[in-house]
Amino acid sequence: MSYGLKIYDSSGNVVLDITDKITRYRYSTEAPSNTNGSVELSDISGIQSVEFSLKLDTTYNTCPHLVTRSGNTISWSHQSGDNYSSANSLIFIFLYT
Amino acid sequence: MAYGFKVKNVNNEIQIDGQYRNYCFVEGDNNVTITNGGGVTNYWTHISITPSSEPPLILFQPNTNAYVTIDSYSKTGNLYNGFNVVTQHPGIGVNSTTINWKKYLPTSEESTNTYGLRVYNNNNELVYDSGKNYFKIHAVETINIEADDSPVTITHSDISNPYYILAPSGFWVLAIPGQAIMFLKVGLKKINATQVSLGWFMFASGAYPPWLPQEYGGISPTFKLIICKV
Repeated sequence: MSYGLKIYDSSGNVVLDITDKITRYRYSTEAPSNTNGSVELSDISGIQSVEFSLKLDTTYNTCPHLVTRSGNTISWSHQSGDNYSSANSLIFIFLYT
Repeated sequence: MAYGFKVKNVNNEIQIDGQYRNYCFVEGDNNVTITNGGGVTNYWTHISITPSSEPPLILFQPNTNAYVTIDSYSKTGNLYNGFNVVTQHPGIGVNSTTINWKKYLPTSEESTNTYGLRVYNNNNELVYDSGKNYFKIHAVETINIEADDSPVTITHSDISNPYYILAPSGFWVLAIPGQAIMFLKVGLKKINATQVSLGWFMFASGAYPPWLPQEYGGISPTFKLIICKV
């Protein structure tokens, strides 16, 4: 091993290796339907994140918010159109590098 | 962070950071049957989970016979208590499949191990416990696919049989005036251990309504396929 932290369980299996990545939970919120929002997270600078939304209702023609990142700001915007409407959404942000 | 504990891997990527909490595996199930009743009020299969006030993260593995997706989470009061899974409409021919799923939470409960490594943040919340199985993103794919496009094959040759998160859910209407209206979503279908197909599928249908403002329409956002190591 070149360097790093390696952890084994009692059977000798590696539970954390020097090449592993553990995803960190950074932020979550509920976004009500027909609303937009954003949050600035200065600590995520230079770190890869994944941000996404999930619906909180089963109405067939509703859509969750769209979530995007610009710099250190995560924004979410509701989606509605002729055939579909905005859902309440659960927004997640995870850091993985 | 000005002080604390931080571990990086050989690629200089952070593994453990005392500043953040991590999601870890708390429950799951295999070979759960998912069916679709075909209408706009019975197209999903509800799966109950142990209620929690913290938002859960659900990962899934599709099967090879039909497209499937986790469409929404359910909540009663302040507690998340389930999720809803959608597969293909009976009109496609196959309206039943199975999934494996795993739920992760940022639980502060310690493992039962009496040895190993535990890290807490300055609020005394458990950040890392070597006796737990943590949520690990292997890769994130972004996919643009219109409703009339052929399915896309995603290959992840460096990981076999991962679990997935697919978000957000799209929605598309395809109507035949005077006849029928079909509603489509995007889902996943397993091809093999290192490949999965992402495509639009019909999940509900109905009679063509006179109020329909257009024959085709919906939203096809950029989809994120999160490939997870479990």
